[in-house]
Amino acid sequence: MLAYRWGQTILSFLILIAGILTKKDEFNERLYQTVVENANDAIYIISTHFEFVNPAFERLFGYKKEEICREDFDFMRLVAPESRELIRERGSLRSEGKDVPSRYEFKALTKNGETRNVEVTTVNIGKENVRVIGILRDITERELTEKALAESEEKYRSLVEQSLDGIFSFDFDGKFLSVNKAITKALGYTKEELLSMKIHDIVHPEYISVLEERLRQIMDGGALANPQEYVVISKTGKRFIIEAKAAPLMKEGKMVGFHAIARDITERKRMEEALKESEGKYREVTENLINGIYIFQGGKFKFVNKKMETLTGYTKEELMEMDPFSLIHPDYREEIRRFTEKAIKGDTADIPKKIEFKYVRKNDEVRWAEGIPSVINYEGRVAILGNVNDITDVKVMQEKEKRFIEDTSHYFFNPITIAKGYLYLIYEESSPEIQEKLEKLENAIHRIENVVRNIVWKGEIHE
Amino acid sequence: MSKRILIIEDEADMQELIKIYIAKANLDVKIYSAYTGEEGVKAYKELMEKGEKPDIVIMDLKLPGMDGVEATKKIMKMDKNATIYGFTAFFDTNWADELRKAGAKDVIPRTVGFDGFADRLKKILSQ
Repeated sequence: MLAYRWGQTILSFLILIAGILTKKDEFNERLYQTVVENANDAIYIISTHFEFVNPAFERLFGYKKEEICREDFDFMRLVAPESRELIRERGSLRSEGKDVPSRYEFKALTKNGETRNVEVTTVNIGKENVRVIGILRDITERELTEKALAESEEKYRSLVEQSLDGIFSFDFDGKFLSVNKAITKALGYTKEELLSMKIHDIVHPEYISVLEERLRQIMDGGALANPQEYVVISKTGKRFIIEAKAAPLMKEGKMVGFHAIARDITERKRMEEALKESEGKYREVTENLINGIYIFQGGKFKFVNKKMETLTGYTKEELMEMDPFSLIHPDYREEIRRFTEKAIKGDTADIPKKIEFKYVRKNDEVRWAEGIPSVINYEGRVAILGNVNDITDVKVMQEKEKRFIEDTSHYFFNPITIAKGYLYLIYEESSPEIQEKLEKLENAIHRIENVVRNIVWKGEIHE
Repeated sequence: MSKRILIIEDEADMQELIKIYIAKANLDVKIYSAYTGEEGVKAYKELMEKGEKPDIVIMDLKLPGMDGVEATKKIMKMDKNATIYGFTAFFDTNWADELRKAGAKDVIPRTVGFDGFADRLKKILSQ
């Protein structure tokens, strides 16, 4: 379109120049000289040979005016071999008085052998001894730019068409202006069908107000960095969850609608829901475990289950805020802190498979716990997953058992040892008759000793 | 030169029998007696300060107040080179293990009798 307009302007200009040349007054002569000498386009007058070329012509072809404007200069030297036939044909037609297009393109050849694409516009002047006035424009760069633009457009079009995301545009009324294959494939409409529809026809009614609000924000110039989720309905009534982001659609500097990119996230949402459900089940199981479960990271609890509240007497909120090490009795605190902090840094050599320790409840009661710590990856970072169980009752039982054994040992074995000690002293100083009786006494003490030993060590009553 | 033995034992009869059997075994020792854990730790400290540190401590486990494990810990804290032997009826119990962990060289079971104890002492003193 622009090239056509330019051609029309040039033609008008040439007609003006031709008029000036035929009138030959002094004012027009000066005007002609100023305009032509300073023109950016190459201007020439040719009859049987070049009669005139302007400085732009010299620059375009690399020849001096004196070299060109000679009767023996073959103008075909300025035409690239592939365009010579075209130029000859035009010359013949013109000399036969036939009409030839006033504007055409050909490949020009410069003095240094370079080929340039030029567009020429010509006007015949004079009725006898016809001369041609022409104006040439080097369109090589323009053509390269147009080609690059066309290639770029093609690439873009191809990318849009092949994209797995839906890419589309629509006007202020919501009428689709363009849709790519991904959209037609997902929704089951043909491109023609969609181009006769509005975006409101595919967005679920519950999401229309969200859509309109977002579009209003875009029109108001608000930045919409985050994509918005919508439910859309396909031709067959299937629901899709999409994530879409829109931006102003500009044409010649004016906003004419919106272009948008949308991604089908139905499967992702389904997976998220499934994961959430699975996490929910897992959490429910964890919450109801008879053991206390916690996740420790960055010096704080990241998770505690209900049992941890029962064990410690603190609420979940309090536990999540407090220093977890303050729950551990001072006798065990530093040891546990040391291997925990080492494990968090990646050195798990000292982390025990199982550890018994005392802990302090909110009411200052000291109780016994058994912990099984393990190193896990939680939210991308190293953490300690702890499984704790109150073993105070077991410890009390063990303590009672220990006390029973110790007391039994003390109250039975000590007197027996003393009895035997004195018995042996008397034995050495006694007569054979007394010694015989003492031996019976020793035997009786041995029997008692054996019974007690079997009770204490085996839990059995026999000699 | 006589060796010094500190016997920490709450039963007077046990103290007496140990002394009798040591005398019977002709061991050249000077015996000090303590009847509680606290008394034993105090006696060890005083002897140390006088430059008469006991060569051997015979430690009972079950003592009124501070038990044998605690008393052993305190003496070891005072003198990491202290030589302490348990002589107890609680042989083969966790408590006896705790005594070893606290620093006792070994635990002599009372089932060996006083002759057995005196023999064992003789061997220790000759080391």
